[in-house]
Amino acid sequence: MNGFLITVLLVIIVLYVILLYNNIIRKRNETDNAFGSVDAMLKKRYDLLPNLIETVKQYTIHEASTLSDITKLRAGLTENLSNEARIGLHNDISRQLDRIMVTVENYPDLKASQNFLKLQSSWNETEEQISASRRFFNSTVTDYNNAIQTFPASILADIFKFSPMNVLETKEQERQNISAKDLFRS
Amino acid sequence: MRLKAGFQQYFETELKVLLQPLEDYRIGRIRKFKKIQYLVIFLSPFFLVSLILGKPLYCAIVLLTIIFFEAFAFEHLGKTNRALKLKYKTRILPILIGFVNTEFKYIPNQRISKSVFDKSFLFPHEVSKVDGEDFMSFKIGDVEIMFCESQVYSYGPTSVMFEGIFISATFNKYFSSKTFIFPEKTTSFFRKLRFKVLGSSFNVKLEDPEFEREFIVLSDDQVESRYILTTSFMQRILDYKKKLKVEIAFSFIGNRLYCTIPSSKNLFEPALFESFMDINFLMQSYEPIMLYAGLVDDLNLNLRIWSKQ
Repeated sequence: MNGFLITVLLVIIVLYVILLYNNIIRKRNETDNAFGSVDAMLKKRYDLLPNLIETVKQYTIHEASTLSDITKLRAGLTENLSNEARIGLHNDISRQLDRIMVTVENYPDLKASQNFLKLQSSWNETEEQISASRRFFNSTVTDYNNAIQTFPASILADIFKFSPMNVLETKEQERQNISAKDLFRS
Repeated sequence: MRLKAGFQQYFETELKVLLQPLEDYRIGRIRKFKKIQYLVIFLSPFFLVSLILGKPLYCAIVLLTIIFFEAFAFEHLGKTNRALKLKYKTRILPILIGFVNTEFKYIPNQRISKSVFDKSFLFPHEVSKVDGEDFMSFKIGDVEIMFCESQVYSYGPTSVMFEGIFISATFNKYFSSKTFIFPEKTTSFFRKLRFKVLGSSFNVKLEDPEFEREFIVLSDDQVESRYILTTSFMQRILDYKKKLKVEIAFSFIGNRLYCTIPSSKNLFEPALFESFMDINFLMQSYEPIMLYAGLVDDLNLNLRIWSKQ
């Protein structure tokens, strides 16, 4: 009788462990999938860049160095980089382009260009989509981290070496208040 | 949209002149109703006396006379109400709505098509029938918004699923998914359970704790739902809910926004025993219009910085 009870108990424990393990795997896959959507949105922005740079170049005189920096950063994205480095490069591009978008005020012809306005709208849309996919990724990472750091799943996570993931954070530089003086410096 | 501040002046200069004939009509009809009531009051002692004296014939005659007068009086009241309603809705409300926004359409006896209700997917069961009135539509900037009073029925014995205002408006972003925002408090336990059974992939967990407490968000696209529900947009929805003080629900489907605002009050109706010359009476129609059409400004739907122009 005791042997039977122990067997039932063991079966329950094994099933529970399988359930916990599968849950962690499912959540890890969800983060991969969510990162895929971030990547897809970043690719969309990447494709938008050449057109935007060319249009801005036609109308601006003082932004040549910034545009050249963006082109270099974009070229850097073709290299085989880690996810973190790639996100870092995208963040740098985003920062430089935000600077360009603010200086548009200095170039009335550019501001009036239909082509630029269209590109600017697409840019804003892509930025918002990136932000949305980033938020989704962060929510899946939080779910995954909660799953591996709470008891009893944490024991299983230690055994199978599931490590916590980092959420995509806004860089310290982006969090600082934007200085109008810096932005309009040509 | 015109501001509320100018309404007092508009009422004094434009509306009062138009309201005066209606007020005269209302007072005249009420006076007639009161006269019949006085007659009934005058007849009542005769009924009591004949009852005390044990004269059943007189008693019956007086009682029948009273019943006849009362029936006549209430029929008169009903007719007055219908006539006033027609006059108010055809002469006053269009001018009142025009004050809110010049580009408008108002059809008193019309409602939004049932197919639009179906498309919103905001109701817990299949829509069998929709009753409604006071259809209003506005063009506010680039946004087209329409709303009406409605009662939405389902098949089955507990048929009324929703009573209140149903809104449909164009949205300022392109999207191809379906996203729903249901109020946490009024969504039934079984419906919540159904949402859970649907699977975690449909439940959208958002960063705003207050929004999470107030609403259940479901979507067939996790990224697009967040593209629609930016942090500032979530705050605007919360603020709009606080302004309305009721449990509202939203859906975002086919580049449109749908919203249900529960209300058991029959809005945009004249009141027989309230003066038309009192601004507070007109406010009862004006304020809801401002609230519902105000959704465009409150949710900042005219912000056009994306591809959709």
